[in-house]
Amino acid sequence: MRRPHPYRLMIGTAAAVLLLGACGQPVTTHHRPGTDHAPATAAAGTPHVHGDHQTRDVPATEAPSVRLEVRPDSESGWNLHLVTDRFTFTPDSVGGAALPGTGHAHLYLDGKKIARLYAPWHHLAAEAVPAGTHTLTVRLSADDHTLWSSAGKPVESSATIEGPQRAAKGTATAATPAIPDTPTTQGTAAGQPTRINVRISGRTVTPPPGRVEIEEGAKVRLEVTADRTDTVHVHGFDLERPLTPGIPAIIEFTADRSGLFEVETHESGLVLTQLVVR
Amino acid sequence: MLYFPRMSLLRKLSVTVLLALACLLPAAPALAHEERPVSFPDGTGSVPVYRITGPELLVCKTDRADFDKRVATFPAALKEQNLRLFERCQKDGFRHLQEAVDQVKGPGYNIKILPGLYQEEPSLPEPTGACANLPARLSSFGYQILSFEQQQKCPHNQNLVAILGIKDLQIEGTGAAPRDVIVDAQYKKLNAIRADMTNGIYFRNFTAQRTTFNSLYILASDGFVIDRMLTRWNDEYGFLTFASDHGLYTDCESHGNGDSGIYPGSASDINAGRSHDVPRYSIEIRGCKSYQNMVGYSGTAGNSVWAHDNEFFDNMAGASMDSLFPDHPGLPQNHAKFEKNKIYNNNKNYYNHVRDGTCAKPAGQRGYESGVVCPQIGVAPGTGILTAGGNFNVYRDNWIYGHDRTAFMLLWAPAFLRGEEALDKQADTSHDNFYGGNRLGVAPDGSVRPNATDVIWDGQGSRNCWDTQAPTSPYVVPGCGGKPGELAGAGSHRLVGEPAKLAHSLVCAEYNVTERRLPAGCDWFGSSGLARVEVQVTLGTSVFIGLIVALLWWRRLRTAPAAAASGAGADAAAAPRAGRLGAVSAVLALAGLALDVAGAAYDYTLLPAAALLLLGGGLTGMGLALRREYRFFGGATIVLGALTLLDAVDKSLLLIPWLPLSPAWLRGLFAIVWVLWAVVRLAPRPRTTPVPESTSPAEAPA
Repeated sequence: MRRPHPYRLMIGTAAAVLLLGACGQPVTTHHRPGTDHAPATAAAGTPHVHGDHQTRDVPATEAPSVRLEVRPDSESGWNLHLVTDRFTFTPDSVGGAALPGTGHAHLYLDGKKIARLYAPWHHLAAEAVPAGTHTLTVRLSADDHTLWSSAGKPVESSATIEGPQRAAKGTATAATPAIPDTPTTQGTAAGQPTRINVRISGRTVTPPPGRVEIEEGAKVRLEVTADRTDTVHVHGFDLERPLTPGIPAIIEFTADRSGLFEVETHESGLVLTQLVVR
Repeated sequence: MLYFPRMSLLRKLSVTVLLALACLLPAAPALAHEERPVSFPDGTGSVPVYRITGPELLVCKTDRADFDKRVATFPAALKEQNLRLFERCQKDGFRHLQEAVDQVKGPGYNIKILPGLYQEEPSLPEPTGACANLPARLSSFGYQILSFEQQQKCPHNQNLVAILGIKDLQIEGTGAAPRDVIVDAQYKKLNAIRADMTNGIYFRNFTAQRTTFNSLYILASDGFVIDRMLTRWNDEYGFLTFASDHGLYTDCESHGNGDSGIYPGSASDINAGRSHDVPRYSIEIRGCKSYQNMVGYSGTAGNSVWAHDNEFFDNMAGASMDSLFPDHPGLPQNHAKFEKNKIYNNNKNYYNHVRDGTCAKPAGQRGYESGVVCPQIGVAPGTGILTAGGNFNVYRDNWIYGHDRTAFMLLWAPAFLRGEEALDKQADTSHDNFYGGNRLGVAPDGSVRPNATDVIWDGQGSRNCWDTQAPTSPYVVPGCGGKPGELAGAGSHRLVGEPAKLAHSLVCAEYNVTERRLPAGCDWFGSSGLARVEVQVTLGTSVFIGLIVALLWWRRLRTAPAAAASGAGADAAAAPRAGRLGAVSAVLALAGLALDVAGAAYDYTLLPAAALLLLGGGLTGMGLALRREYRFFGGATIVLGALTLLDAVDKSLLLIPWLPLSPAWLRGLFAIVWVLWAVVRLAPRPRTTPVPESTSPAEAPA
């Protein structure tokens, strides 16, 4: 019998030991299998044509979601924040195929498309909004510009916005967006906003929770100061603000719908007050 | 514990060393894929030239409004031309690229793709019937390795568009820029476009994207051009050309790839056996940009590739070539020439996406489009050009700047890693690599953008040389002469890499993206200070050797005067002097050992050399003191000290030429013998012994 070459034996032993896991992997292949190379099988929804646009319907459990938050900017206009779930903004791949959970957003003012958003933050110039109350809507779109939808309804979120008073007042603040302590021509409440101040200490709410009567269309300025991190939520109007200990959170809005609405905190679950709008 | 039956000590040592080396394998970017066995084309072809004549096939979609929007901003003439083509295409064109490819009747066809998004829907359904059950081996990546005939039979098992065996085909996007025509695989296929055995293929002016392997794959073709093409968002490669010759990449762009943007693997090995004087190159790559990948350019067996005037930036490493993997025709890698490239700021670190589980999601959900890259293997972030096993490569006149780790990294890849076991081949890399005349640490606009170091080299190989400005590791490297093949000095001639760097590679090689394993001791993945394996190994060694040094002094040197005074024939007057020498030397040695720990992470400074100087001096002194009592052991200690001093010279003044093993290896191997010997010498002596000189009260066991 032919004796194996000594070096062959040596290297063979080394290889055998390697195979047994001396340093993880055999040397007989290419680079270690890396990430999963399995081709994608998921379909990117079902396209439907609706007049001038297409939607792409996905099951509710996989559908992305969006919530639009509108904050007045400290200098001018508004800062829009799109809080999304199961969604990534992909400006670089726009024009490509629709991939679940990716794309961009379309921004509409009173139903008219005014911008394409490639990131969760967008500054809306004061000039872009005429005087008066308007509806801002964002819809999530795929890279191929079809709109994501679920159960036939586009994935969208809306908020009302007050256009700034311009020449009518002729003051330096004319170009800044309307905030509630600026008189508005809308509704019946032409005076000062209804101010509500609430302090939270531990689980004690001051003043004790009660009801505040508000005329429909009136401005409301809600100021909440808490001693711990939390989130305050105005039901019905779906407004939320983070609470930072010791720093008042201010929510200003127009009570443009009637009903009984609770104001509560998310974490601690405290009811701060109830708004009766009629 | 490993068991090697009936092996000599030398052979056991060899096996241990080989084991350590074997673990080196995946440490460097291992840039490869699995494919059916292919061989090089015969090289009789030529680089195809762009044609405006010949039979023409058009591909377009039918939505006129969409098309109008896409061409709206084109220059007037181009817009006009596209609108004309659109009208024609509606009458006699195709809706999918594959349909047009299938209508090619012979060589010389031109396919024009009009602006639009091509998802190639007919190619997407899962294979059925015979195609679902092809008799073929599974690769380690999970896909089947199909023969050419199987690819022909089932072209869409793995490919969105398959171009098989067609000669002289030209495929061109008619938009204003590559992004106007997009072939999108949506991560549903391994390859967006596969051109297999397609001599003379010419791709121009469109985008291929989103695959689970490669966007554009050219295989076994003699003559190809990739002209103004964009590829992006792939698990592995943007452009992959393999076992091909007469190739040209020009003005291409690639980003968002888990391995590399540009991969000219196993380019025709036309210059094997030649020196630096070569007649031609098999693949030319020019004017390309590759960014936001694991590496910008890579090539296992990237032979005879001439890469010039490219930009590789914002990757983890700029460019890499290696000889690490079997079954690549043309190994070991040789004769790549890099000239006038801008390689800069390759400092990305994408390992956080592995750490947080992003890379464990399905490809489409990882977020490649928003900047996520899933590094397929371990690579040192902050590296300009890495060569892991390669010969006769020339890197000159490049701008290489702004790297957080190093401009050039050069490592050895022993031949058995690629499956070649012949002993005389084991050290056949990395030799004759020329890194001369580059502009290091400075941008083309003249601004200073230093590299942290200019060289990280394991010290192995002959006739490698560098022109440098920043610090290097090792501290001294051979300088270059005026042109490739010329050195400024004698160079170096080592068969094995430095032990500390091997240990480092051993640990870093444990990276595994599948198992989300990021070795804690490897600085590539963020460890620093005491957590680094080099520091830990040095600390362990220093503590161990330090203990022996301290014990030697306590037991054998501290009491030397007494032993000497009572000893037969000893020079009593010299005894106190010897005691002082022993004490001072031991302190020096201990100081050297301590400093060595601090220097372990800074081998591009003089700190390790200073530590070795102290240690070497200390050991030599101790040896002189010990010689009085133990002639041979004392002598051995002096030899160890001398080797340590030689190592200090090697790490500070001159990389000592003609040594097959570095002083660090010689010192380390001799230290094993010395430690065993020291343990014997330290062992308590019998209470009664016929040899009077070996007994003293202080040393008797209690």
